Amino acid sequence: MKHISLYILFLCCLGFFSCEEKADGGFTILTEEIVNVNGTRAIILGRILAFQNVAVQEHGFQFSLTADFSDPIEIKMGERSRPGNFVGETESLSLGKEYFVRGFAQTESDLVFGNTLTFVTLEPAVERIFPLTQFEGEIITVFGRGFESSSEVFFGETKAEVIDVVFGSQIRVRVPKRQESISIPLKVVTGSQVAFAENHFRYPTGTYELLDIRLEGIRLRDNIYFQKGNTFFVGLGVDFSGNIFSEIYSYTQGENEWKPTNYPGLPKRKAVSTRTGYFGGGFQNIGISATYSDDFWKYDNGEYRQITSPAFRFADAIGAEISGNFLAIGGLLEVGSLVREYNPISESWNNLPNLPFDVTGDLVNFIYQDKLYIIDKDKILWEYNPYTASASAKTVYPSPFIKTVSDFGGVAIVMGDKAYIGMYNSAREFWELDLRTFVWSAKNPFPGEIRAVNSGIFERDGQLYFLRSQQPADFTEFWRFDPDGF
Amino acid sequence: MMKFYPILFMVLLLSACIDPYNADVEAPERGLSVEAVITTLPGPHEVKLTRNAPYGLSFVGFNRPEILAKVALRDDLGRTFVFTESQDSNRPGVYISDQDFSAEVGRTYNLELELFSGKRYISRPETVAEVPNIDSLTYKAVRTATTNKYIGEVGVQVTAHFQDPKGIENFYHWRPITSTFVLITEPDAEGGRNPPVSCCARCFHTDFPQPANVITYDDKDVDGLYQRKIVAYILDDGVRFKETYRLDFLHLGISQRAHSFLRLVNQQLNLTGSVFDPPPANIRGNMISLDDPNEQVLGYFLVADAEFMRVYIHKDRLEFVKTPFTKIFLDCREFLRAADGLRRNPIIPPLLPLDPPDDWNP
Repeated sequence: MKHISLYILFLCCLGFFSCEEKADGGFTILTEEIVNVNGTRAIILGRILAFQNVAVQEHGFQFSLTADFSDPIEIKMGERSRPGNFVGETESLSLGKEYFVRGFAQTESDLVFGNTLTFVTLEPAVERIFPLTQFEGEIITVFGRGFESSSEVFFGETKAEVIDVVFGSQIRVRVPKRQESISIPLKVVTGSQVAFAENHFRYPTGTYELLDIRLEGIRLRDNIYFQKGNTFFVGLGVDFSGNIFSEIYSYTQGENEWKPTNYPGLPKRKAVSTRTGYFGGGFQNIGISATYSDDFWKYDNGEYRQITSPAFRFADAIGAEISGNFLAIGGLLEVGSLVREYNPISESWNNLPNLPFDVTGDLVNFIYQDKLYIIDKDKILWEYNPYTASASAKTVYPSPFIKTVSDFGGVAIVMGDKAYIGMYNSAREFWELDLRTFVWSAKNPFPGEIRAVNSGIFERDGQLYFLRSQQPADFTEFWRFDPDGF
Repeated sequence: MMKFYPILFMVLLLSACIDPYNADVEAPERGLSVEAVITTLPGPHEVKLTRNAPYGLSFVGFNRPEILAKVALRDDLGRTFVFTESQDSNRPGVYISDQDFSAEVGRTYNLELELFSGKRYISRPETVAEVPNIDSLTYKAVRTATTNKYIGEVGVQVTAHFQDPKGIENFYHWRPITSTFVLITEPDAEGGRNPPVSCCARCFHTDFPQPANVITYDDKDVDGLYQRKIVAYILDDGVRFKETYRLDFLHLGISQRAHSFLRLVNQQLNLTGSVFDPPPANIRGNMISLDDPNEQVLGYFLVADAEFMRVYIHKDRLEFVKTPFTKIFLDCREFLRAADGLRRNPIIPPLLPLDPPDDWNP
């Protein structure tokens, strides 16, 4: 008994020095989650659950079209000793099929499977093309889903050069050489499947013709222009010598010259004007301290009729005819967001709510369905309702602007449900904007001299006509543009 | 003889060898951190990627933005929404969605990243759960005991009142966003380092509510009951509640996994150093490296149904505020500039505005 403490000590020593054997315990495979399925690709998360290290010689996932996993596609991820997560990725699945997937692990003696999960691979689809209209050799992007990295794009039957496939959803492709038709069906071939674009791709159109009816000896800037039926009017402003030009010329289709109209009012430059024949304000002469030109006019039924002048002064302002009324908006002389409305029935001027921003006459603008559209210097196209004073940004002008170089001097005109916008200073770009969808389509670039200013734009019988005052010369060119010509 | 034994023992002890132990500690790598909160509110939405500086005893470096990555969001319909890197040079590593993109209730999303180095990551799927609308918000001043037994902490608690839908497992998260308050200063008062000036005493200042609570909640025990939950707490620092504080926050319906993550983050944020604290730890988010599943990616890709909430907290409707309030002997417009007294910041802060924001409607 007296040695009992020694026995206890001995037992403790045995306890401390007892051998620890490394045991390969059991484990469980969990097919944890289908992380993502896209096209032919699937990413699966699995987990080995164990309380100690495991001796796994191979592990991975099996994919099969049948629940009994006959003829499975296997992702093998090699041996491992530690429990935990593993992620498997395959890109060899078929599109539009239901798949079964399970994790597996191979030990020396056993092949262990995890639970089975199912998923369905999506069919490839083309959602949209951007831009829908593009020049040959340029790049467009096909947006959609389920695109393999080896996807091919066809314009009609012509295979195009694929630049890259991003995230299986965007294919950048170079537009092939122009074909017979300007509207081409586009398809994406991915794996064994074909996806068609709903809208056809279009090559740009538009032909320009320089007419032999130019304004000889007249070169205008800061002028006005308007149209009455098949007669176009242009005049006032400043001529090529830097002098005030106090006449308005007209051209009627079918004739072969521009004729003076005997304008009876004060000379004007930077007058506020509509495309329909209202105009007024502006300056009578040149210089910083120029005199305000305070008479306002309406050209109608072949004659100029003076209308009441507003109490406010307008110069370099935007003019618009909306619901039969003449609106004078913004400008340099008063508050740049001021809106005044002339009612021809009551022959009086009313106040309308101010614009939410200041405007001047050099901002490209047009009227469509009694709403005013303005492209600001940040290229944003604003839709403005002058009666509710609500403005909303609709789209962005697609060509670049160079500040103080190409961000002014452009033209815009509406023909049907489309607006034709562009030819800013020192730029050739001309665009068609669908006013129902606000989708831009490039037109063929202007081929003439770009050292010129736009003096007027008109439309008749599906054709556009525009005047370009040449900078180095003393004449104004008269051009016809067919938007659909190619 | 016996008397020499202790001396001999001491000599042996003193001359014992000490071998330094060189612990071979693996240097932590710079980990990827993902901050992404995508909601059903109108876009654009943002994903911020950073490369963390490793944590250590000595300064190793800054967190770096992860630039030139490809970032995309995929939904369960197969649609992909590509995020483009911000062109703002002050915001590198921030990737922005299209203006018209917003998440949809019921849809499941994955965030997919491809870094410039070629490494690829994908999030585990997150489904957008519908969040019930908040009926009303109330607020009250609260006083909290601190370690200083003479000075308690004063703050404002905001409570949301809403009906939890019955039979649906809901997880809520309230996320404060940049808020605005009226900054009142005392420019004409004597006593400051600056000479008194006649202008200006009332400006508008933006603020991120402090402390940054991570408040989440689940309806496990209260399913279908009417809820009154504290959704925000703003510390009164003597400046915020001199007049009106406009708190903006998002009321979010999140997934169970996101709730667990945020709850753990909150636990870690509230460590006090007591023996009852959970141990500090990196919290695993929902991003997975496709190249190395064991790589730990910090942060979380969160998708949620959201309701934007706003409450104006008026000083005169609070039972008490911190007293004495903090006196600022400055023209209020100069507040941010004065804060950088040593002019160490090369970027000169802007003047604070005197006019309220356009949508200020207390």
